[in-house]
Amino acid sequence: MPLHLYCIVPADRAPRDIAGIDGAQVRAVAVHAIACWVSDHEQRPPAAAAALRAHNAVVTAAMDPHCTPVPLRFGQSLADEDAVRRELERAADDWAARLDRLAGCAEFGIRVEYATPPPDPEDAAGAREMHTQDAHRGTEYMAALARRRKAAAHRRSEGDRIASLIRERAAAVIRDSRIEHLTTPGGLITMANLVAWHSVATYHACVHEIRTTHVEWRFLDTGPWPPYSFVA
Amino acid sequence: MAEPLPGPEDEFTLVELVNRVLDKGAVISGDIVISVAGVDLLYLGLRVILSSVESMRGRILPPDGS
Repeated sequence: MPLHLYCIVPADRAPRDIAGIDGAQVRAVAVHAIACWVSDHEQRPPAAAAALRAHNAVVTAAMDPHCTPVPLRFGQSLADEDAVRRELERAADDWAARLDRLAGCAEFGIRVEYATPPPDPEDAAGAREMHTQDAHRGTEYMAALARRRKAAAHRRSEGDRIASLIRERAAAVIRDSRIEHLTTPGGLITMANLVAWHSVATYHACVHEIRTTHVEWRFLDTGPWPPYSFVA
Repeated sequence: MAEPLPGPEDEFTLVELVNRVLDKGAVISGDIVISVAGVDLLYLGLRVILSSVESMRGRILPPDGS
């Protein structure tokens, strides 16, 4: 029976009556000062929403202001406890270093969109132009492509500006951050910030200040998360 | 009683969850297998990068999305 893997924790962090995917009991497999939380399954759990939620719930249960787990990506299984111990032993120092680096922190997400999406540069006429095979419309095609690229560059620049504002305003409390530029309609960036638990109130106050002074953007906050974005 | 449909905020949180649990996180073993409905859709060996669709589009496509 494969063992589904959830997270790496200090060895003294034991799961207490925690149910994982499909209600399977979560237990710890320890090597020296680190442990991996696992659960037994007849088959590898599928990537259904319920399983993803359960995976995250277990990793979140391992987290509190005194312990930050190293979340493992969903989809990893090992044959048995011996296999888990071999993998932990193989990179024990690396796992310990990650635990130390993340200790006392949590991840907070911000997704920023235009409050009112700008007009799509590829309007109805432009869409026809982009897809026409008529050679006489080559100039219009290139013009539409240029408009589209300009709009994309503006969105990317806007996203960078937002990320810089947040990082500067909350510089004292953001230990690390990651941003990704969105390509969804109206989307600008999604940002992950690593924040110490004792600084969470200050962090939220900084973000709130930016939110209230920039009504042209819409902020969607999530967290606290286990630090998925900071463990690669 | 039927379950209420997820609102926009629930859907947004699920998107953020999927983006983290499937696209982020540490790798302990060389293989990651994502299966849906009993079908192994993605196999990653030798620590090849797994990415959400959105992230991969951003890495492969030019910034203008073309």
